[in-house]
Amino acid sequence: MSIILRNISRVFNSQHYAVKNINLEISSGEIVCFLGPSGCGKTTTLRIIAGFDRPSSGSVYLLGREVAGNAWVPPEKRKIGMVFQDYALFPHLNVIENIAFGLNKQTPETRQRVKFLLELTGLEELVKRYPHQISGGQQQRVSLARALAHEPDILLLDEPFSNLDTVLRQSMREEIKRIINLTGLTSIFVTHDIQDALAVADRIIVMKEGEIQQVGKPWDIYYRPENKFVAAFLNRFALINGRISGKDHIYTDFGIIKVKHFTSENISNSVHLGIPPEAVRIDKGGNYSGRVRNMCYIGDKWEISIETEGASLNILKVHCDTNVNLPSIGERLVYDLDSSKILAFFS
Amino acid sequence: MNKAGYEPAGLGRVRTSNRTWPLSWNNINIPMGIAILSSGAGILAFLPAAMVIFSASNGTYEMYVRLIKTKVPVLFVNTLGLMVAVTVVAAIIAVFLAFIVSRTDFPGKRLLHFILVIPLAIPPYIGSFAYISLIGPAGAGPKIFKSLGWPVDYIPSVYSFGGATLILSLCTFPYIYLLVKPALSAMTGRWEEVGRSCGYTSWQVFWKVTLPLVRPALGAGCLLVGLYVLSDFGAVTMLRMQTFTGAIYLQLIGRYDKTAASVLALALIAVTFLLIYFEQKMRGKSKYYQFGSSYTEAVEVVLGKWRYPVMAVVITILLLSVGIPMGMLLYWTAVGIGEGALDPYFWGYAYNSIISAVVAATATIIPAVAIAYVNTRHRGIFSSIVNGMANSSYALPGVVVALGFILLTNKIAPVFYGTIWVLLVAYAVRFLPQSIQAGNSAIEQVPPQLEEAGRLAGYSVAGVFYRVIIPLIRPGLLAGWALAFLGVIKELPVTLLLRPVGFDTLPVRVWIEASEGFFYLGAPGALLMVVLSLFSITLITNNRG
Repeated sequence: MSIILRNISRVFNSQHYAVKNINLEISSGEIVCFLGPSGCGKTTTLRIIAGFDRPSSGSVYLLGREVAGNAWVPPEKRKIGMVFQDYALFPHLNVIENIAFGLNKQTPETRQRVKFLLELTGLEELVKRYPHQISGGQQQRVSLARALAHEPDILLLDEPFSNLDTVLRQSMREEIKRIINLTGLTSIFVTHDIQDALAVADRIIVMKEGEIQQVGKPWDIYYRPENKFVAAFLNRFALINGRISGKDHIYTDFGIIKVKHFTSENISNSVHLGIPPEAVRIDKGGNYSGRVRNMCYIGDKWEISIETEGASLNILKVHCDTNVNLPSIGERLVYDLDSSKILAFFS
Repeated sequence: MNKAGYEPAGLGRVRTSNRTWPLSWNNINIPMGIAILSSGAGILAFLPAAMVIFSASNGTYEMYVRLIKTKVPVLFVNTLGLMVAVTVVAAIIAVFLAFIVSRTDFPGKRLLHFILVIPLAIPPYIGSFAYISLIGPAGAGPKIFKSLGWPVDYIPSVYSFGGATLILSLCTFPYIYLLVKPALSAMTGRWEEVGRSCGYTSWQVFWKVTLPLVRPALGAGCLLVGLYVLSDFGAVTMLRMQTFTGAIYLQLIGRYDKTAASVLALALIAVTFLLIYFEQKMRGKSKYYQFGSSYTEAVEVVLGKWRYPVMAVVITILLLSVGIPMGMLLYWTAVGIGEGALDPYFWGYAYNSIISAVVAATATIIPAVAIAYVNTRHRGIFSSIVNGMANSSYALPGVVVALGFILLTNKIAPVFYGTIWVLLVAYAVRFLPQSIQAGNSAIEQVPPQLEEAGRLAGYSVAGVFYRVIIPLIRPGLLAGWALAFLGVIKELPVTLLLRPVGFDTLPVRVWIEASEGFFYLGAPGALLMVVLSLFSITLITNNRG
């Protein structure tokens, strides 16, 4: 195991838990993502691993060595490289000086190292430029190269993509994943953007209010969120209140839905359904009906919002990949639900 | 100037070509009153400096050779040596204190920050006065030593390079501190984290990250101190250091040789410009800025067992820079009051100081606002020329400004020589650059859209200036006024050289009493000046936001 967190908590002002009892093992070469809204404790956890913050309780082990807990190893002794949010490039140093910052002496080896990093990140042309003279994507690369210069064992990235526009963001995701894979470093990055996490991470850790909500492969998180919070955070499930009846029948406002996947033990009568767009099918012989509320073209398909029938307002989304025979807004629509794709959450 | 320039643009006569008319910008003409006021002030500020250079060029070859062979080398060594030594010592004190206040868990650091403004209110010649009155030959120290039977030789001499360096550093380090401390506090702690994550210890991080990043502030502060030492007259003459300013004064008062004085002044101006050039060069092309969104508080350095040594150093600095000067001023004031020093003469000097400061500060701020307005709102050929001329006295030592006015009045209007009017105008010229600075930053904070709204509401350019800009920049103006007031209250060399016969101000008296050893006569005035300075410093800091 490359990184082990054991019962890590971080308490502020003796009552507010920024991080609560985190247990995690990260194996060598893995790319892990801490995902969650702001204030979920992801950055605090990262800073505890880096040594910029101390856990109130629990221990951190890096490569088998205890660095926080009973022992204390300061950040400069942890062999960690870090890419900071907004890159934190030194404004008084040019590109090559920024990259070589962590190399205390100039030797043929360090010069070789810098040259290698310049090639790896494609910055050869920009060595004499100052941070304010290069673009955001280029600053990002310099920051990454600086983090790698002193040959760390572990790479940490704090919100690495948050400052980039959408197009640049996509290309930087690929770029960073390529470079991390080339170096084979154990890496952790922190983001609040689900797309970043899905695209880059080998494993995603979803956090909320200092606690881990779910750990899993990107596709597990995407298709099988384990609780209502994760489902809501993914922003693709329609969340609907229901009451359970019998073994697998859920009474909702607009009809009875059969569910196969319960994400935990049956602990109460009330349940939340998570219905993803792929679970909805427009079907004239279907069992449910609703009204078309809105239609959005989202690129190679249409997203249709259906207002279900019933007393309360529930909206289901369905994807439709043709441009012909589309319903119009306000029209009544009959549809069916694929119970194998619907999730039921008790929390 | 062509009268046609003031006619509304669009009347073909003015806009015969696409060239920007110097007095109009974006088809908005500078109001006539402001144009006259700003250009008049510019010319008046420019003439003295020009006169010095012109007069120096009148020097004969023999005179140049004589001065270069005899005086100039010693003056160069002394002046530059003192400048470098004071700047280095002041920078070390300032950076140390700034780091303690902004980055460590030092107890009472907020109080410390507050106290550190006090030395600013103690001009170096008052600091020198205090030290001379303590350890000078006629001071309190030798008396006490004699009464105790201790050898007086053990008392270090104030009249030495070391003494001058220490006293000047203790009085000037706040210039650096006040720039470095905010720079350190505003600096995101993230950069230090980068240093740690790259494998450097706290100590290495300080040298490799913290110090280079505050270098712009440190450089600007050092420039201020360096310029101050070059221009200082009172402290160096009281401490009997032979530097340029004292030599120029001697040429004027002792030998009545204005040309030789001008040649020395020219050399001093050259050194001043070299220093400014050097600092500009040091800045390089890297741009310093903060990433807006990513500010993180720097981790507080825990002093631990270092707490007491640090405390001892801080207390020593405070004692030397605030405690001893204030203590001596209070002691001698008490003695003076007992001896009847607060006589009508004293109140006369105080009255002279305050009235001339009020008049001169007002006379400075009015043209300064006009020039700042032209600078910020009508940028162009006219504004560059006026601003350039108005700033000619920037960084010029007071002795040189006074010399310029002596030359100017002799040449153009001898009747004014030795009148209060020349003195007041010289004050205004001397403090014009910093008041323009205050005006610039005040007007820059007013969004131009407000003026446009004023125009659309039916006011002329001049109307908008009086009804929109002036009310909005009032706090900034007050700060600029207080700055000029503070400058005049403490002013010594210009006053000494230009005052009418019998017109003594508080600084002049302090300077004279110190050289004659009547400390109890000088101390009340010095104390009053410190109090007035503290008052205007609070005005300035409160109005700068």
